[in-house]
Amino acid sequence: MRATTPPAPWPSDRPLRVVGHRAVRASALAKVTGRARFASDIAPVGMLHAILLRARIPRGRVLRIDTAAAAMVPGVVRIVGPFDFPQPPGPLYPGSRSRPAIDAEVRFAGEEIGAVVAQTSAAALNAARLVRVDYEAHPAVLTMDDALAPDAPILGGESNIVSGVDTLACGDIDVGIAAADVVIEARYATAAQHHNALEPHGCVAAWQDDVLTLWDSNQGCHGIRERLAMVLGLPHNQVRVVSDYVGGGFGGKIHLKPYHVIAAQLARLTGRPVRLFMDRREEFIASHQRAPTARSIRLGATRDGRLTFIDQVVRGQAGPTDLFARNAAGAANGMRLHGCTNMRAEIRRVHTNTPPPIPFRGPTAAEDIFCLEQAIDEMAHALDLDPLEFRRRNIATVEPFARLPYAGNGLLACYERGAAAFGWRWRPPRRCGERDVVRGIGVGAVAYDGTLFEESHAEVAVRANGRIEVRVGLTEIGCGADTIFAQIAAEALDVPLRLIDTHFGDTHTTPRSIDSTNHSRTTTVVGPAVRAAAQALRRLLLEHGARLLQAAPDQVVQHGAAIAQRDDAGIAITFGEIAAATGGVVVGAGERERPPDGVFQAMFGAHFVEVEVDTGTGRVRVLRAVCAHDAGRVVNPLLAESQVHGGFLQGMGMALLEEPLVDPISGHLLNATMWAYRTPGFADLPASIRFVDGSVPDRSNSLGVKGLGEPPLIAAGAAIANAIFNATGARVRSYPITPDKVMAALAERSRA
Amino acid sequence: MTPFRLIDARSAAHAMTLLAEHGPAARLIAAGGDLLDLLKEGVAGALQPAPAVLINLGTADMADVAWSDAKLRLGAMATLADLAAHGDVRAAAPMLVEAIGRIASPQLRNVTTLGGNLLQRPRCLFFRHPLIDCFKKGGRGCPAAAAGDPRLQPVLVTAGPCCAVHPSDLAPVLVALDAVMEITGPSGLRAIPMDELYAGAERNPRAEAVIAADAVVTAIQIATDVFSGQAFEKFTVRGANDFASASVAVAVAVTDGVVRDCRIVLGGAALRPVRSREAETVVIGRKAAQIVTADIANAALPGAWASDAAGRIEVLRTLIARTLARAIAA
Repeated sequence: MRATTPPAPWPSDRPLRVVGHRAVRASALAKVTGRARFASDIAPVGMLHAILLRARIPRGRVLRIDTAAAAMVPGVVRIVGPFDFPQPPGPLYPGSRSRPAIDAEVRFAGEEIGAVVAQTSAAALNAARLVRVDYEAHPAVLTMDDALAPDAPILGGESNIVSGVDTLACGDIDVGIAAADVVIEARYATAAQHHNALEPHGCVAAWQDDVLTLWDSNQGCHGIRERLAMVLGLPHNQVRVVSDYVGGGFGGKIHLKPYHVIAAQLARLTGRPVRLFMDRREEFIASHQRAPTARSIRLGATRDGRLTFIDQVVRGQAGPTDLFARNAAGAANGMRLHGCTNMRAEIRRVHTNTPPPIPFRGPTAAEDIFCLEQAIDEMAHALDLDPLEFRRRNIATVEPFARLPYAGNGLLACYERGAAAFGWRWRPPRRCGERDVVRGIGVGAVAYDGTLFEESHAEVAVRANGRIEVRVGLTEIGCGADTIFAQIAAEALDVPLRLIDTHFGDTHTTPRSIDSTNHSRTTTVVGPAVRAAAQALRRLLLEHGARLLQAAPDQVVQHGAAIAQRDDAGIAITFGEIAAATGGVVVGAGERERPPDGVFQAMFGAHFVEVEVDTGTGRVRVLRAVCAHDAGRVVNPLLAESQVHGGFLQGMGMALLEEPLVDPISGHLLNATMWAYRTPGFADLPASIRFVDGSVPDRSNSLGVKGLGEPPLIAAGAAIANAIFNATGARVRSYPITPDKVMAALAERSRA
Repeated sequence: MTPFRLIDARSAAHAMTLLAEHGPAARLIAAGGDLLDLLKEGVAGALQPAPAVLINLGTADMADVAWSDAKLRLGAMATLADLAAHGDVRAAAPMLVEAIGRIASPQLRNVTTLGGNLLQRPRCLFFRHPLIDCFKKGGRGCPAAAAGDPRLQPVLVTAGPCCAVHPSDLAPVLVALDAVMEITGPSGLRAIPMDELYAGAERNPRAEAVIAADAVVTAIQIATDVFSGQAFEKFTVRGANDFASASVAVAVAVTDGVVRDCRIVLGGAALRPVRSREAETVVIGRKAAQIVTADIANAALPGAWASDAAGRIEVLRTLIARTLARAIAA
């Protein structure tokens, strides 16, 4: 571990100068004026357009590809299929059952089986439609139920359950069951969810001799570069990945995908730059999705409201291979949320002929906590307790698996500050009349594991013109990395924020700060490295400044953006002048500090929601939400609000609207369009989504920061579902809670 | 998208000449709100044969709104936004304006047309999928019926193989207003009651409307001052920018406190707007003040209809109760 010793922690009892203040997003003006260049905008001279050929059956083999008609389309340059695609030396993913980027084996409808390259995108599209493919179709399994049926075809190994049953456990479940006065049990389900980033996946690949430049829409330029270099059999310095601005990722763009390799190889084959971007319909396939899950949850509690056990049996849809199967389902974060000694979860990841699940904001945790927090709500009602009070009585102090105290647990602060801001006054659900429009309130909480340590490098430099530049090797996907590291550097260097620029997104010109932005960890991993780099820069500036002022090292101090004589501030040299005098630039380099022992980092939060339900149609409107989050230390409240707004709305989409529909016969995704796959629109917005800072001091790093990207999505779903129950007395345990499900639940309630 | 030639029509008559000249490979295009989608998405079969010539009606001077005796004549190429803003339309057919406000988005309403809205193709997810074959696209069978998901099937089960629903919101509204569609063909002008426009839609493999391939829809005529009370409600899953999962258009003629005539028309329930004559019969002749809308709603949609259809029958009853109440109160 090459980490450095942590510097003195930032104070938690008084405000800082720059960090913690609202600062306008650094890239805002560039983005709204169109100056920001995304990979979609790149068009080098001589660029060709490629489009992927995708399998039309969910399982089987490509026997033959007939390109005769397609090749006649004017402007077509090259058509490749599984039998003539130039395969690169390395496998697409590490591991034994990796599939080449283009292969004759088909494991889900839409899988990549070839590509067309043409002078224009229209020519490529027309040609692609004329390619004729002969398949040998094999029986496919499209749902978990299909896969677990007794006569189901087995997709690999001995059964359609990946690597057997995965069990998480702590305490003794039987002791917990024996100690319970009240036990409830119910089944819950979540549907797949598509990322639907505004900018689709894609890249432009161009070779210059043996060096590949890839302008790419991804979540981590260094991660993509390293993986792609390995696949292509090249040293890192022969692959340059540029991701200046990215139109959203949400987890879909973390990994190397077949299109990266295909574009690189097509560019090499044709000797021209090749642009390969998905259209919207393809984007639903290319992005993969959050896995559908199903679970049964059994809880026990004493009559005075203490949880005694939580027992779950969970299934998740894992796609056709072991790759990414861990994204199919989880239960760990739900088990971190409340203090319960005896917990168990059995997880089965089920093979299916559907695209493998890849992370989507809060992967496995949203699915888990959307369900668990409904079960907690059901237990509160069984005990006749206010659901908020029930949660207050069960705050965890220790992480159940590592058995370590949390470095900071702001859950209670979130409950109290959130409830106060919301005006939480609970009353039990009332019976509603026929076709009434009724209102209700609900609460739901979140715990999400953080990141204690990862190696990270950052640089902070001063140029001769006086500008200070933070250099971080990461891709900014909208979370604010273009802004907050400048704030951290400004704080550490004790200079105004306006002097600082942030350079990111190009593997050739940045140190490796992180492989990819995901798991709400970029601030906590990279932030301390930036602070260390700023401190290293200051040391260099003091050293050079002393020398240039011909003073002893202990006779100079920093004075604004300059080094001055300790006893005469009038004798000074600016940072820029120092840089000019020492070769044009002074660079401070820093590494991520060593983590403390004996603590576990996790983020916490609680959402309070009011909904209105039209019992005549089943339609649910979210009226308002208060979202309290413990992020350790909020670096920029303006950007924190953005994260909370966006996360809450994606959680609302997952909870109420979003559901991919798959044709059980052909395996095709039926609603792979923005009009048919329903994401929230303006007319679905609540009147307000209010962020409440529930942060408490966190000692997992010297900045006291954690993360905020994913918890706002994770906490939203159950809060909404619980509010629907409060409004109507009818509970829907299957997400998305669409109007038809509300109507069915209401009908069942009136029959009961 | 296969290449096509775009020709501007100078008038409806000129458009017909062009249709005759270019034959089956020519199609009319209004704003293109639906047609261009089908072309871009490569929904092969939905357009048979793939058009080589598109005849632009935007230049054909068919957008006027004018009085013709006591009837208001709405040009087929009038944009939805223009219709909704038009003083005479707002006064004579407030239900039409109400419906327009729930269609798509302001951007689309600015360019899409009355005729285009009425003649748009179904939104069935199987019909709209480029790789799935079906009856409406010249193939066999109905994949929606085979898939078995009640949410993807109509509320009213009908005789033909196609089980899509018609996506237009203006269709049920115009049926409720007893509107008449004016169609110009080679043998002259024809008037079709809106009620008959989609006859046999579920058995028609090429289209939903009974319009010959060489004819042009030129206008819709609505009688005004017939129905004193009108109301429209559209149920969508999303707050806006969504097609109707269910809709109801109600028009009532009330004199001296008694309902003399009534139209209750359901949308989003079948491949044609459906008049609920059972409910209408109960309402006609009753004193407006004595009508219990919930009872009427429950009388509508008797057992002959499909099963629950994912809660949509209850939704339709809710919409009937609410529109009837508003129409009577007006």
